[in-house]
Amino acid sequence: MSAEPLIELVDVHKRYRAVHALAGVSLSVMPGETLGIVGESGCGKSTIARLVMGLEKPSGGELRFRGEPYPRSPRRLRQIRRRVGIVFQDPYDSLDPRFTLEHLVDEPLRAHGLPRGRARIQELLTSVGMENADLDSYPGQYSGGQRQRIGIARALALEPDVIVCDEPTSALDVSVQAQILNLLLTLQRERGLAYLFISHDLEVVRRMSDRLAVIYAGTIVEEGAAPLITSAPSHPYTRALLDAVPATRPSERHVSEPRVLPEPLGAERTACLFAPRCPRRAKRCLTDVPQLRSHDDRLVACHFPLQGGDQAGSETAAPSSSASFQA
Amino acid sequence: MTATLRSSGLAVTDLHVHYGERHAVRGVSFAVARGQTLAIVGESGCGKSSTALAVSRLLPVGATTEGSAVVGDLDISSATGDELRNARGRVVAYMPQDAMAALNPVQSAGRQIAEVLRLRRGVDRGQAAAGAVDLLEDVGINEPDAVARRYAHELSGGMRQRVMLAIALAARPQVLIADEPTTALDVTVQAGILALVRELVVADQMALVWITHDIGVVAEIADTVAIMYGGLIVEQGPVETIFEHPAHPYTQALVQSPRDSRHAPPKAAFNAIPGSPPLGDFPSGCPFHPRCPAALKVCPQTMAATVELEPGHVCACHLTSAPA
Repeated sequence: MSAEPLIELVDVHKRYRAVHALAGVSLSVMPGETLGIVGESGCGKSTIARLVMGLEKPSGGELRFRGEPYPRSPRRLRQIRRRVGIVFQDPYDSLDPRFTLEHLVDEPLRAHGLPRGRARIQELLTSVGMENADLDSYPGQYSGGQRQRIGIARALALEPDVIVCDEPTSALDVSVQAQILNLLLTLQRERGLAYLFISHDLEVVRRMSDRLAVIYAGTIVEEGAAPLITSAPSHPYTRALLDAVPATRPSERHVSEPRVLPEPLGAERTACLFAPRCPRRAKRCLTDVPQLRSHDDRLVACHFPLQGGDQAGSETAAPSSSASFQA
Repeated sequence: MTATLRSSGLAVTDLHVHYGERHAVRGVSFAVARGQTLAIVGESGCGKSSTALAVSRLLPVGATTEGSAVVGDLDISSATGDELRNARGRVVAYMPQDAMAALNPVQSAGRQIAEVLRLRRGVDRGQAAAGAVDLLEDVGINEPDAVARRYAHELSGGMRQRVMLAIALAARPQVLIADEPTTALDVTVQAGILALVRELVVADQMALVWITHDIGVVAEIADTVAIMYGGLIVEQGPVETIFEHPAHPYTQALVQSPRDSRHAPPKAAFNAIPGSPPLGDFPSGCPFHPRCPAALKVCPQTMAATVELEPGHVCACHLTSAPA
């Protein structure tokens, strides 16, 4: 495995009018690894997906593919799109119902001038567990899970180095989600694929990822090895996300939330944007933007990071913590 | 069904829903007392939303029902137009999943809540407007005065769902039917709504029916649980029993997979139930048999009878009903 990242974001900013959707995000995806991105709706995770796909251009900073900056010309950007696949969230909306399976899987091959033919299409469908599918059938004849397999076959057609998975199982039934996630794991093992795996489901991201980046309001607040971050989070926001995951048995009921709403995106970045919801906030959090820095084998952007996975708002909390996640 | 339960909560008996030829709900029975929460759990096409709509008398034109849904003296399933109008909101309220689609885009949040207060509680305009703000505060909204003046598109997903909850609660319903109200929300926002609903069910002594596909949510809020598959309730019981001693193989898979998952190392295979839930035609016999790891010869032929395993815990499975 080479030490050069496949995908790199260097201090990337993205503004949509007044909204500062990404405010200086730096991250990298290495060959064969999964970088998980987790955060709430509106945090900027789908913006990262669109930038990495080359569907949008950053307002500041730079994206690189294998060390080379993303080209500005649409023609040369196509070459990057060949190497970067995508699996969409909604398998109902992402397949045109008027096209046959053959047409749908052939489409990327045709667009990029790659070897075509029914045998190749059959091979791609076999690799996603659809070996018995009729090439002349339509997506409407298939369940959500099968449609997502067709979507994955389309992504695989270009033999990409990395696939952006944007909430790939959120629209599926629980019992079917596991099948699709297992398929993604198998394909990664067999083909050495890298994934940029985006989800709001912390448990799924934890299981799928080597490394994890937690995004809040357009910035990375914590990044590091997935098992470390999910077992002993340093950022109070990561802790809050973990605490919000429902219990697996009624005797472990715990969820509750402070009745405080997040700051709107586009707020002046003169403070920690998580401070209004943070149980550990102190004066400094309202005047100083915390920078992402090394702490306890990971990166964290917090003036008062948690130590050894302690509970937010516990006795080791920063001075003048004034709210609590626990009711 | 005890008399006290009938007089105060919701009792549904042998409910069927047909959409033309399609038999979507094939005889379900359950009861919820006031101050209690029943979670109805299942995947797409299992009939859980049809059940919710039938109990709320909100099924689309063309759907037909059999069976009864009784709250106090009123049988909702056979109520006349006037009885039903009178009952809406006060006896049974329905809370949909998609708040963006359900809220009126050209009326402020406060006005939509106030409308329910005026029509159902008979208060005057001024009182209704003040009451709307109070309700917004009750459902955990900061600055309720400002939010009352906002329109649906100016609110976040969590706030919209809280406004829907305020509308549903405005007429103090005896029974609230909530159809996946937190499915589209972030876990942090969902957590707040769940905590709030837990409080309100007890405080307002509502009977709450919570429809969901998420077993984790069930662990957080339910007192009793009904597991649906293929238009049938395959298991039903107290929440502790369902989670600690599930009898049906489908229930076992549902409650066990998140638990196994918490201990699984990264990149380990997920426990998957093979196949996908049936859409349209249900398989013969027990509808779960094509996906069941323990299916017997009899399973494709006949549906197992619903058997009471212990008081309040029922299961419809040949594995538990047949002598071993």
